[in-house]
Amino acid sequence: MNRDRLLWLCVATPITAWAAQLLLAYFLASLACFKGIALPVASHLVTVAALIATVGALLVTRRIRSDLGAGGAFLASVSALGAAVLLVGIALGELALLFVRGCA
Amino acid sequence: MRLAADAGVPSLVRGLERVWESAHDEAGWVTTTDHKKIGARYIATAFVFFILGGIEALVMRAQLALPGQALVDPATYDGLFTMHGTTMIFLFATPMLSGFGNYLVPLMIGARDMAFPRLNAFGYWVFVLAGLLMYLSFPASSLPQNGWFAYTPLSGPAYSPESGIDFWSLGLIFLGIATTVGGINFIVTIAKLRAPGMSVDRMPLFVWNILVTAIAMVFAIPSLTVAAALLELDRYIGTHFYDPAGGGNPLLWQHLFWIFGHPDVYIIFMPAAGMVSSILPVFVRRPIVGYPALVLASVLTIAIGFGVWAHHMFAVGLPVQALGFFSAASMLIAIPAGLQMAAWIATIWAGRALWSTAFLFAVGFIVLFLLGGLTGVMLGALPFDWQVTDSYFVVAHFHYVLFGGMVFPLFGAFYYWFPKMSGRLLDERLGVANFVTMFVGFNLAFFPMHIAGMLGMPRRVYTYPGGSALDALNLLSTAGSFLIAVSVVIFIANWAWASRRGHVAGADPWASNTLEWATASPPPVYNFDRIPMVRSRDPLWDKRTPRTASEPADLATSRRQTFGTSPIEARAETYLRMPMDSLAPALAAAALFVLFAGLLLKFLVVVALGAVLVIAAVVLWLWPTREVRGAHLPIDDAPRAIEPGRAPGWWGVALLVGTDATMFVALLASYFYLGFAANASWPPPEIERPKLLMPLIGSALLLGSSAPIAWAERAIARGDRTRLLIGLVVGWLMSAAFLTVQGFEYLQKTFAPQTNAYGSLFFTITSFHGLHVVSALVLVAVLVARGLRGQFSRDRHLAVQNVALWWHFVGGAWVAIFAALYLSAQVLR
Repeated sequence: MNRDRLLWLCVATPITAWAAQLLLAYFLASLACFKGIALPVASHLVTVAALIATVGALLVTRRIRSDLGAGGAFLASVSALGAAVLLVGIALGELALLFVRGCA
Repeated sequence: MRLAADAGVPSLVRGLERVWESAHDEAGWVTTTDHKKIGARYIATAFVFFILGGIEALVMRAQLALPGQALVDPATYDGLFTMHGTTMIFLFATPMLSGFGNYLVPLMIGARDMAFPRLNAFGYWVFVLAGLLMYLSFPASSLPQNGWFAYTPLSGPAYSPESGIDFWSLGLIFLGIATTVGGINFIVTIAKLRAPGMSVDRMPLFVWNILVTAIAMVFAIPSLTVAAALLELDRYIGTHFYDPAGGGNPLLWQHLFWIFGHPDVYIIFMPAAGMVSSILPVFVRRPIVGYPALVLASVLTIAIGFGVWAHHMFAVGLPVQALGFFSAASMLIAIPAGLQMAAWIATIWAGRALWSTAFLFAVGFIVLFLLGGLTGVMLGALPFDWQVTDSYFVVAHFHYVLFGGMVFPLFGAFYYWFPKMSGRLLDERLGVANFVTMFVGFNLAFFPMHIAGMLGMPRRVYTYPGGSALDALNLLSTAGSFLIAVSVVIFIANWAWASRRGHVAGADPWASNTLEWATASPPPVYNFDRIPMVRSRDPLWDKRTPRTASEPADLATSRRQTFGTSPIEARAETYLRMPMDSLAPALAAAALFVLFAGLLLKFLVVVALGAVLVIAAVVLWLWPTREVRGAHLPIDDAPRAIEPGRAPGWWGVALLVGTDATMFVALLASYFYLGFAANASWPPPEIERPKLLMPLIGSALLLGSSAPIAWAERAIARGDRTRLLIGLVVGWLMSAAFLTVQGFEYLQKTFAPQTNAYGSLFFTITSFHGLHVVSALVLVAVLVARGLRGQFSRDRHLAVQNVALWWHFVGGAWVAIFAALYLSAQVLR
C-alpha cells in the first residue's frame, strides 16, 4: 500500500473504531434489554478491539510521518493527536459500560 | 504580498475580463456562475430569511411578555415557533454560511471559481425555490405546527391531517438537494483547486472549517432526506414507517432526524468558528496560536458530532446503559471545544488587540459560546437532562450555542469582509452600537430562560400562568429580544449608509494575512490576474518576494480556467477548464420546483411534468456546447488527458455516490431497526419469505451489466468508439431487463406498501433502487447519443468514466439490498 493510502487509512481508523464501539455497545445493550440476550463479554471485547485498532493507527502514523511531504506530515500529526483523543473516548465508553447498568 | 491587478499587463486583464465576465443583461443575471455573485445572493437571501425568522420570534416574545395574553392563538403560535426554528436553521444559518463560503473560499485558496460553477448556481436557485415553497404555507394558511423537528406521530397523518407538514417536509427534501450539491462543490473545490503551494498545513482555518462542514453536509443530509421522505410516504400513500399499529416505530423518526440534527449543529457552528479564527489573528496582529489544534478540533468535533445523536433522546426510553455511552461521547466533544477556546484565548493573550467591531463580535462569541458549551456539558449528564428536558433551559442552551456561536461571528464577518465585497468600510461607531445592543439584548433575552427552565417552564407553550417568578423572567426575555431587533436595524442602517458613502476600503484595509486580500476590493470577476504561489500559512504576512504560478497568458485569456492541484501538497497538476455561464442550472431548479409543487398538491400530472422537465434540464446541462469543449490540460502541456480518476468531475460523482450510499444505509438501517423492534419474526409471520429465483436472475442481469460498461470504458480509453457504443448498449439492455424482472416480481407479491411496515420498507427500498437504475439508464442513453455524434475520444471521455462509476455503484447498492431484503430474510425468519 502506498504511503498516501496508508495515511488516509490511519486517519480513518481511530474514528471508525470509536464509532464502531459506540454503535455496537448500543446494539448489545438493546439486545440485552429488548430481547433478553445479554452478551457482556462481547462489549468488552469490542472495546479491546477498538483500542488495538486505534493504538495501531497511532503507531503507524508516527512511523510514516517522516516519509511524507509537509502537508502529509501535518495530516499525520493531526491524525495522531486525534487518535489520542479518541482513545480517551473509547476509555470513557468502557467506563460507561462498567458503571452504568440496567435498562430503565 | 500584493497581487492586485497588475497595470503592467493590461492585455492580460482585458483578456481575463472578456472570458470571465457574465452578460450584463437580465439573462446574464440568471445565467451567471460567478461564485462571488452567487455567494452575495446567498448572503442577501439568507438575511431576508433571518429577518422573517426574527419577526416570527418577536411575535412569539410579544405573546409571552405577559401571562395569559391572546395576541396569537395556540395554533398560530405553534406555526410561528415551527417556522422560526425551520427558518433560522435551514433557510438562514446554513445558507448564510454557504454564502460566505461561496464568496470567500475560491478567493482564499487562490482559485478563479468553485470547482463546479454551474452546480453552484443550481444550488442557489434550489435554495431560493425551496424557501419559497416552505413560505407558501403562510398564504396557504397551512403553517406546519410540529416544531422544527416534527416528531412523529404528531406529524403523521392521524394527528396532522392538514398540509402544513407537507410544505415543511417536501421543502426540506428539496432544500437538501441544494445543501448536498453545495457540500460536494466545497469539498472538491478545496481538495483540487487550491493555489500551488497551499498544502493542507497552509490552508486558512476558515477553509478547513468549510471543508469539514461540507463533509458533514454530504453525509448528514441523507438521513434527514430519508426521514422526511418516509414521513411523506406515511402521509400520502399510507405506509407504516412511523405507525406502531402497522409495525412501525415513532422512534425511527427521532433516530433518523437526530443523526442529521446533531451534526447540523456543527454544520452551523464550524464555519462561524472559522470566521473567528480568521478575524482574531488580524486584529491582534499575530498568527493564530495552535493552528494544528484548531484543525484537529474541527475534524474531531464533526466526527464525534455524528456519534452523539441519541443525547437528544435521553428521555424517550432507550436502555440506560446505552445512554451512558452517548453521555460519555457527548462529554468527549468538550475536548475539541476546549482546544478551540484555549487557542483563541491564547491568540488574544499573546497579541495586541485592536478593538474593532469585528473583533468585538469575535470576543463576544467566545464568551457566549463558552456559556453555551458549559450548559451543553450539563445537558450531556443524564440526570440533569432528565430534569430540564423540554424546558426553557434547553431553549436558552441552544440559543447560546447557535445565536452566540453563529450569529455573533457572522456579524463580525460582516464587518470584516464587507469591505472586500463592497469596496467600502462599515461605520465603526454604528458597529460598536450594533455590538453593544446585540450583546446586551442577547443576554437579556436568553439568560433568564435558564432560570425559567429550572423553575419548570416548558418549551412550546403559547402562554403561562401569572403570579410567579416566570412573569418577570419572560418580560425580561421579551425586552431583550426587541433590543436584538434594534441591533439588527442599526446594522441594516449601517450597511445601507456604507454601501453608498462608506470610506473606500482599498484592497486590504485590515493588513490581513489571507489571499482574498491580495486582490482588489471588490475583487475582479476573474479574482486573480495571476494565480499566487503560496509559501506560508499567512501568505500576506510573508516577507519574501511574492511569486505567482506559471500560467500561459494565451491559454488563460482564451478560456475560463484555473489551476488543478493535488489534494494534500497542492502540487500543480492541470489547467482546469471551467464552464461558461448557462441557463441550465436555473431551469433544472425550476423543473424541480414544479415536481415538488406537484407532490405538494398531490397532482400527478404536474409531478410527471416536473420529472420530464428535470430530465430535459439535466440533458441540456450535460450536453456539451461549443464553448465548453476543450479538455483539462496537464501542466506540462502534453497533449493527453489528465490521469483518469483525478478530474474534479470524477471526485464530484464519487462524493455523490457517497451521499447516495448514505441514503441506502439509512434505509437499510431502518429495515433492521424496525425488524429488531418487532416482537415477531422479520418478515412478519403474515408475509411469506421472499423467493429467490426471480431476484437472482435480476441480480445476475444487473451485476453482469457492469461488465460491458467497464469494457466500454476501457475501449474508449484506447480510442475505440465502436466498442464503446456496443458496451453501453449491451449494459443498457441488461439493466432494462433487470427492471422488467423486478416489475414481474412486484406483480407476484401478495403484500403491498400499505400492508405493514415490512411491506412499506420492501417496496420503498427496492423502488428507490429502481429509480437509481432508471437514472443510470438515462445517463447511458445520453452517452450513447453523444457517442454517436463522435463526442468521445481517447483523450476526452470523462463523462464515460463518471457514468460508469455511477453504474457500478447502482450494482453495488443492489448487492447490499439483496443481502438485506432477500438473504437475511431466509435466516431471520
